[in-house]
Amino acid sequence: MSYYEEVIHIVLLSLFVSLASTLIASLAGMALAIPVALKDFRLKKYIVRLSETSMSIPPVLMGLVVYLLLSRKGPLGELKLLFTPAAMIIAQSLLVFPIIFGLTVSAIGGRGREIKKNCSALGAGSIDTLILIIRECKVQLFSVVAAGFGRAISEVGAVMMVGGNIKGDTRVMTTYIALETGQGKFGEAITIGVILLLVAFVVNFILHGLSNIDEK
Amino acid sequence: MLTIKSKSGVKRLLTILMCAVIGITVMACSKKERSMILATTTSTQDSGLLDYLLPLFKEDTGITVKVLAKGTGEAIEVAKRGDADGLLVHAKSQEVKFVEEGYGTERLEVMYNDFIVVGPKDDPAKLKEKAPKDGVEAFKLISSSGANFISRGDKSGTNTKELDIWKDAGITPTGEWYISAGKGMGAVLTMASEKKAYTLTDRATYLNMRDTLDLAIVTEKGSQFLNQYALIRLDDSKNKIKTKEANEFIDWMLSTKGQKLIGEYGKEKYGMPLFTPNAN
Amino acid sequence: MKIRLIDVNKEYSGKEVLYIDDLNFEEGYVYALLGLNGSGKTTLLQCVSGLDSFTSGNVLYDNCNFNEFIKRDISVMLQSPYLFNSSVFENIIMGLKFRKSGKKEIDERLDAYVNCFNIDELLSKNTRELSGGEQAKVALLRTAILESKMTFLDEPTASMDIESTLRAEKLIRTMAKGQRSVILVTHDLMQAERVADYVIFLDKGEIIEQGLANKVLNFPEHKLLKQILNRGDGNDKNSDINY
Repeated sequence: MSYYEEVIHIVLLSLFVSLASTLIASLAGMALAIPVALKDFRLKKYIVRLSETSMSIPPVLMGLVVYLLLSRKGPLGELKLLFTPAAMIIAQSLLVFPIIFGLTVSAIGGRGREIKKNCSALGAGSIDTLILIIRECKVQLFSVVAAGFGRAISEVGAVMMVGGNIKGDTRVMTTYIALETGQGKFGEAITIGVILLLVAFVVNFILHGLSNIDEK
Repeated sequence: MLTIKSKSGVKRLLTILMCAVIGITVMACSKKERSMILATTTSTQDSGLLDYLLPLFKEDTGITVKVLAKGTGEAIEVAKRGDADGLLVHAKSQEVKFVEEGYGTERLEVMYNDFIVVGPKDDPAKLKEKAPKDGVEAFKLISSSGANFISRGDKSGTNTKELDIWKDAGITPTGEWYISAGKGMGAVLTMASEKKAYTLTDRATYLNMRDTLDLAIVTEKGSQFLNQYALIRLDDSKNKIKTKEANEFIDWMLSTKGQKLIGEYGKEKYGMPLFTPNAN
Repeated sequence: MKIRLIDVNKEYSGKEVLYIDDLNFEEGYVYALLGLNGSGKTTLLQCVSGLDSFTSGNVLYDNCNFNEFIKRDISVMLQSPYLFNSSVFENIIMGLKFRKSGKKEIDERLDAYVNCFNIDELLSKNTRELSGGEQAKVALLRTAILESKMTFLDEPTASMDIESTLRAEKLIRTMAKGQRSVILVTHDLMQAERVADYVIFLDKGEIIEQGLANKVLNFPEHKLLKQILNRGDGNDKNSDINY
């Protein structure tokens, strides 16, 4: 494929993998974090501490774990997912999840409980309460998603290991930069680096816009 | 009266999310073309040969070959685990062991090229003058002059060859001048260029990267410099692999057409072919 | 709604902060819960309204235990109410939407209640732009508009000016009719006298006196009450209690 075809493929794949993993991690993370944030229970402190530690899991370690899981000799080998974009999404989702979970618990925190109480005071059911909490904390929740996306789009270790950096297939912007730099092709590396920053900027811009949806 | 619209914002957002999820699922399921994973070395990839051959292979067979470029040691491990469908490396002793251990059913030689020693243009150890065609002698000169040498350090084919030459020279390379990089060929050449050091490389990768490097060929065409590539037919009773596609690839590479194409690669760009086909 | 408390207590970390042997709320009256800070008024309000729960004891609502249907017939205005980040209009009808009321019913109710405080011009404003007093009015309205069988109000007029306070008290009186009652926590003894039919005086988590507002506030029997109500210049009923 020509240089331009390769660049477009790399950028689109990066977006696809990072957005997909951020989406999955956000849905799962928030679904679990909101109930935890609203209740007080004995294990809460330990769960929060666990999620804080998980935020610092080195991506290469996560890459190794997922690699061993997905390898044909591994427990999930039958799925034939190693060295595919799906494997990259899985690894990144696992990396982004604790960030979303931990930051959502913080973001919802005390305010969420106050909202819940006031909703209860007006006779709201659980679903109505949940929707209202999400609406009221919309801005913070969107910045949590933005943080998660930032981690995903900049990640290079895990996607390198489980994706294999296969040209035309599992090469993303970050692994491309690593490869080209190693070969001394600094011009190409910097070009993609700039594109990566632009992509990150645009996505954040869109997220900010979405967070203000239906605000007058 | 004002219209009630407090929930519409959230609904709109959820619709966007739903579309995204559907879009992702559709994309994921739409790739149904034939493909296989070929584990090979970084030098094979960096030489540019596969970028040239594989599109032609796809034209003929419709099979997309996904190239997993690692060091020889890692490529072999990946093949042992069944995570690749084909294996193309250039480290004979490791390949023979692989087949003996039952991971592969056949070792098929497909092409060769040669190694060269490259170094800084000012050649402080004077290899070009004193050992233009003798690898063993060249290494002795590097060691005695204490000039920087970068080793692949990754059990690759190139690394294996390098260690063999040190052995022939009767030298155990140690000291600050001997740098073990643990990286692929392209990365090592870049490092050698940066640090004004010598290194052993295959000709193809060097030529492919020549423009970005500040290095010159100092020793070549020695008897030790033969670099034989071989395809290994993986044993599909050990792991579930894409046997059909893998066999088509092997057949094509060994066919008259494949061999001819291999022999032509590089002529246009460098004035000389980078590989010599030698399948039986 | 009739509410009956039987042998209830509330404990925090093993320490008992509230104990009530027997307390009844009948239909159609305004009850004021009075007492010094820390006497347990808010705790009592929160537990009876269902936002919190008693540690032990029984509470019967129209002879039933607390359930989803009872919850629908109760509404609460908290001490520092949280107004949602949208328009005043949205906030006021929020409870009606929770109860899935139709557009017609919402419009009718709104028409009926919006004139209690003259907030027509405020309807489209975002609640974050309102003053403390205006926010309190909105919070009270969004509770009142539900016309619940039992409404709990925790110091509803604390941030209101005099005119708004009097209007609010007028509104509160209309909220206790027929089957509907109001339980009101207040620091203002004058307000209690103006608004309440019955008062319940708490001190250190126990009821020290309860009965008709007129009688208890003017002719208290309990020693402590006599002290509180007669401090200062003898006839001054609301001296130290009005914060």
